[in-house]
Amino acid sequence: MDLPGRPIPTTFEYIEAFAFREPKRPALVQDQQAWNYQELYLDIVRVIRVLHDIGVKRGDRVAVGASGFQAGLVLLLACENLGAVTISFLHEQDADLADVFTLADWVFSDFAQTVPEGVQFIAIDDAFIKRMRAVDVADPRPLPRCTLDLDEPQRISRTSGSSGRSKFMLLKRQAQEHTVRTGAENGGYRPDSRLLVVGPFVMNAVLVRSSACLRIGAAVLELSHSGLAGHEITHVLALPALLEGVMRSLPPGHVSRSRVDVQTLGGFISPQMRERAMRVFGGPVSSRYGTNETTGICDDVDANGVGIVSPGVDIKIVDESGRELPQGELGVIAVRTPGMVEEYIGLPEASAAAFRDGWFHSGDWGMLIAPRVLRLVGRHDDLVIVGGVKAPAMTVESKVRELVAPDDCTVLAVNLDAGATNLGIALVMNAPDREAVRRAIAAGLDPGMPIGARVLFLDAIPRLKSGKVDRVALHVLFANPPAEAV
Amino acid sequence: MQLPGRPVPNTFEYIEATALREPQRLALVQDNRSWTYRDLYLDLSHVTHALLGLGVKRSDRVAVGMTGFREGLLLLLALENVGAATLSFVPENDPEKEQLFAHVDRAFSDVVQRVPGHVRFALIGDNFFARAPEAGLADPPRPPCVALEPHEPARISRTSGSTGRSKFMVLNRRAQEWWIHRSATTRRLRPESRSMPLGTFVLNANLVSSSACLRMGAAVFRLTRSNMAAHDITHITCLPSMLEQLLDSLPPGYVARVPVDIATNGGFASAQLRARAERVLRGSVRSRYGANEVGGICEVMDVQGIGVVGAGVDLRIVDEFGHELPQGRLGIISVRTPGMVAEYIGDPEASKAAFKGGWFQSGDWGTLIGPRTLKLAGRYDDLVNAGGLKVPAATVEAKVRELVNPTDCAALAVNLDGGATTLGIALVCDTADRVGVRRAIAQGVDLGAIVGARVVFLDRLPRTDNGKIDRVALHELLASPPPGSV
Repeated sequence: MDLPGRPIPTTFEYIEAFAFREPKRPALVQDQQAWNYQELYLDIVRVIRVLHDIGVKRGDRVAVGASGFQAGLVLLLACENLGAVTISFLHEQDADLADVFTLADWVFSDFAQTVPEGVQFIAIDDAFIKRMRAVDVADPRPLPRCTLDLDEPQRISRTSGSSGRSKFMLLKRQAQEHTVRTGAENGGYRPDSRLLVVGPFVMNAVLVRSSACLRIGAAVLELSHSGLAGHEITHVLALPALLEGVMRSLPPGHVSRSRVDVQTLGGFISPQMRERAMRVFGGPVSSRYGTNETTGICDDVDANGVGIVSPGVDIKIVDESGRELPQGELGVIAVRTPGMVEEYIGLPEASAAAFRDGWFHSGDWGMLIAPRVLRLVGRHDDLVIVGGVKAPAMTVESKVRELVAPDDCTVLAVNLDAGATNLGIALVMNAPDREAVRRAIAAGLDPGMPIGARVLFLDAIPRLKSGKVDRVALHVLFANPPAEAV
Repeated sequence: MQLPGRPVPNTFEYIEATALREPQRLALVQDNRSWTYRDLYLDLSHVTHALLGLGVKRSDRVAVGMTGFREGLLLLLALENVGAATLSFVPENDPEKEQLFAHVDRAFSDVVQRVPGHVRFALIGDNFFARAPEAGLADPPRPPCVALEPHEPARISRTSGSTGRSKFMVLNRRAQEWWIHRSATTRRLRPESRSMPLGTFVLNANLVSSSACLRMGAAVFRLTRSNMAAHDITHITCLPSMLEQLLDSLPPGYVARVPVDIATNGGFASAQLRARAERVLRGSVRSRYGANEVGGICEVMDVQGIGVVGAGVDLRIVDEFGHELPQGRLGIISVRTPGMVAEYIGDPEASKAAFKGGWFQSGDWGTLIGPRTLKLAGRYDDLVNAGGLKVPAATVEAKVRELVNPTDCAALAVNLDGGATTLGIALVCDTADRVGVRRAIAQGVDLGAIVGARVVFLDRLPRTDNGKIDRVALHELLASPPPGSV
């Protein structure tokens, strides 16, 4: 495909235009530090020069794991502007580090990392910063720039790993651009928006939404929880679990002075949390449904799991053999979007199972209750049997929350006691009478039939760094419960 | 270029999502009638089915010339949804009809048109748009949606014809998407915006601006000028001459209740016009600089003709041989954008002259006065040679306006009287003392060696249908002034 002209601009080019037009416009806040568009632009220019000098070039795969948000963002945007493919990792305790480094040509981090032979590790240390500061921003040489074509790889993202090992995927420029644009549209960002992002760049949505804001002149904030109340924010982007953390850190009775739009992704938000967030932030709370393989599917899914399919998403409900089912029938959700990947890197079997004839067969169950209206039922591999009837774990979880009001709760399909126990319920709650809690759950979930449920009382639900439930660790806990949890 | 998934959504798909989410949201107002997103979606579904019934298919080239704005918009958006490439014309008095019909397979109009043998003409009456009033969102059934690939033709636009006959160009999907994206982001449109494009769809900016609004849930207005005062319009897109006419048509002493963001295209907005518009409409005037061949180049040009080059625009200044000139030197503006066309249809010579090595050599002079900062001097065929010094005619025009405060005015570089007369000035000016006016101009316009100026007094300036100065007609008037104009 030969297209006239030049490819669509990088995020850096948008920042550059603002830096020239409105240099003092606020761009980024990280705790007590703030950068305007000119400052952010110049920092990226410096890093572009340094990266170019050390040899980072178009098509190189660069893993970035910086502890600071601004440092990570500047590195990612500079790499993008050089045409490199970026992968983000957690600088500490990333369970997938070995896989990440296998995929990379370069690794940049402010923490020492052990990388395989052939991979170049660059420490973001004092020497790097000194070198960066020494860059002459008025250097008359043309600044290296590379805008990728739509079919070139731009980003490597990964599945959350909540049900096992992460799978890695290559996002082409078209996919990442589509995700940035729909991020701006769905997020409702405006030039005067101040977006609080809660989460690491490992969540591609954090880079995508930050880029969406910086392309229109809005500001991005990354704040420690204690500093939250002192800032005017207009939008929040978070995983449900991380949103819980944000709200917990706010002073008791805190209510935002002006309306804040809250958007969650990467998991279902319970009605209780939605209600609480609306009370605290005074704005709408939307729960996006999507997958890492395809990006957003519904911009908002309500408390009943019902949402309108987003523009640009082709959707069908299929049975286990891939046959399309009519409206009203429950089946597996299959989608096709401009933001999708084509395979999992190095996993031909998993790829063949998930990507069929251009469609991604998600791990989720749902039904079309009307044209373009989806009812999400739950994860395909997460149906639990309650009273002999299959039910989505999240429906059961919602019911448990309603019955015993725990601080936190997760429900999992298990297969224990030779099949006699098929429901695992993990609770975080201060309950002096655990038996009464068990009775309330049993009575509330299934008044007629006995259920094979194991209820555990934990100090905290095991979670991944991204905030998602660590389902593998939870399975281990259900199989071998610590004495104090029973 | 093989891309996974599906192409980015078309405008119909966005309208559909809003219709399902907020059916009663205001979409379109034409004088005293209004349509919600639900109405618009049902109308578009109906028209899409009707077009499919007529046999219109993907990649057909279809000319649309409707008297009514709404009817034109419906046809253009439904044709986009069918995958056809559209070309707009003025149903009556379009001087380019003969030429434009040569480029299409079909023509639709509510006025009978004489078309060549290969073109299928359909007279579109009111009944074409009539649908059953009781139709629900699922009735008629959802029409098939075609989202074109980036390289497929989406739109045929044309040059304004201000320097002669219009040249026609094919915008591929990526280019047209880029125009829409730029319109949405640079004009700061919001879902609550109420936008009014002035002029016909022959100006691609009007379809682009309407599409950008409807993709985000904003409302598009088409009002008679006298009716405008009754509506709280937030955005206007127009040519400078149309803005002048709009201001003239408003009731004396009228001041807008809400600030109106005004974007002018297709010509430089004078300081006087900006000041007047800002006083009456209370918002800012963004005088945009761009070309039909490439889209926007600078989003805002100040009264000195200085602007920051937009993101996604590669710009260089070249001499007449195409050699790049250093910063600070005056030369021809050459650009490359994601929104550009590859050539003029059926005009290899003009294409060869304008499109060189992937760059578009514009008809404009300018200087890069700083990195990414352009000073526009004027059309390069419109520089007045003043004793060897080239002075843009636009500068002269601004000075003349300042000196004698005409109702309207145009200055043109001419070559008359064997080269002795190099400047033509046309005035619309109610004065009994023409000699006094001439003297004031001669004394006030300091052009050094220029002595050869021809000043003509006209009842009105010749303009093309889209409101631009008809430079060819003006050249003729200056060369052979009608009796009484001298």
